[in-house]
Amino acid sequence: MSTNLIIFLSALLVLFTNDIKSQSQRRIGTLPSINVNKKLNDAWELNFKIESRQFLLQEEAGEDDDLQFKYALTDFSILSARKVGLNSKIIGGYLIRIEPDEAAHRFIQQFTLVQKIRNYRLAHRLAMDQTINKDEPSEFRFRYRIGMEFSLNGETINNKEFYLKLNNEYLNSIQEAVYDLEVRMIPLIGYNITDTNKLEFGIDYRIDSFIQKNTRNTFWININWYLRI
Amino acid sequence: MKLFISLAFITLPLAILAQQKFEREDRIKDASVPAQALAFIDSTKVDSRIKWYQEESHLGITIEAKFKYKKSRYSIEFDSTGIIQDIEIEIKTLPKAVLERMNKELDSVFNKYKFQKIQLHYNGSEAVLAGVFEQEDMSNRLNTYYEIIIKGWELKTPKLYEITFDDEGHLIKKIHIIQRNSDNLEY
Repeated sequence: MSTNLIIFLSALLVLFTNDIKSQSQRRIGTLPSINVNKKLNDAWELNFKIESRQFLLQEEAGEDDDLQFKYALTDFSILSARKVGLNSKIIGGYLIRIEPDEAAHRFIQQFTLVQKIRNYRLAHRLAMDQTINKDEPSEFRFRYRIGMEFSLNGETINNKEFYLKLNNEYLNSIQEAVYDLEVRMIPLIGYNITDTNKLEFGIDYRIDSFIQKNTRNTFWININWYLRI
Repeated sequence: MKLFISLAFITLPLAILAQQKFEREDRIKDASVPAQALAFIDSTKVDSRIKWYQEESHLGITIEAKFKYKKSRYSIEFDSTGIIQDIEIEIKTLPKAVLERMNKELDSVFNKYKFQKIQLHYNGSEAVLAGVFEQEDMSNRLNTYYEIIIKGWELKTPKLYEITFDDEGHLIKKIHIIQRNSDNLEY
């Protein structure tokens, strides 16, 4: 078994065997998404994304709950990206979040940089977003994500081959002068159908509200499809 | 409706297959390497850890040995039967006269450029190529080329190029390198 696969499985094991039940909220759900990208010219491209959330379990601290499927929301976003370097882009766009009883609007600004380092790629993403909802105070976030992608066989990822991707993100949030930090750890196995068509599957683990001592742990089963047309 | 959407997530990506140039690289074990290629490596007395790869393209199959030797990265290419094709060595500096010639050639092609990687490329007979590991400069006994990866600006947007120069720094070939899609890392 390759070393990289052992690291991935260990990361999953750590996430799932952490004893978090007694002192915090716990949520488990599914998070499928479709990303479609379209190049307009050498400098500009568009990204369209649909991402949906469904809860399988929502537990309050110290309480048990049964598994039950509950639809939560769907996000629709459109981003436009301008290439500013060989491997860097400035990206801006808009997201609308549709929940059963309300909608929220988010404005997004990002900078990304991808580095090719021998047999793996390292990606940095700095982002800010502002979320407006008529029933809640506006939320302002500043985020940094680092991601690594590497082949499970050889130095390059070929067509019809699996790969590993590990993301780690830190989200600083301010809402009504209250600060919170969310940390995300996302190990994924990807399948490179072709260079323009990729599927990924894994766990998106999020921990937030621990600064206010009201820790919430969320485990999303992540299924992503990336398509470039 | 929700079942349909779920199935679409799973099945649609597999149905959309784009036409692409066929190229593939796989790591292989020593047991899969042709005996002649293994014998060449043994004859050089290189004691580094060797990683073997099989590369498949529309031109055929080649076997590649990659390793670090005397602080430099080496790549030796063999054909599918194990006959050596060439040796590439990653280097950090170029002879002054060669570099000056290269810069002159590149100035006529690009508005701006930056060297990212330099490789010394030898090809010749097996017996002479074996001497690469014993002598520092084999340029007078072998066909010598330089392969340079350059970040270059022909217009406003930078691109990556692989440029081949002869042993005096004259430009022989320029290829635009198409980088792998990174949507899954950026979005």
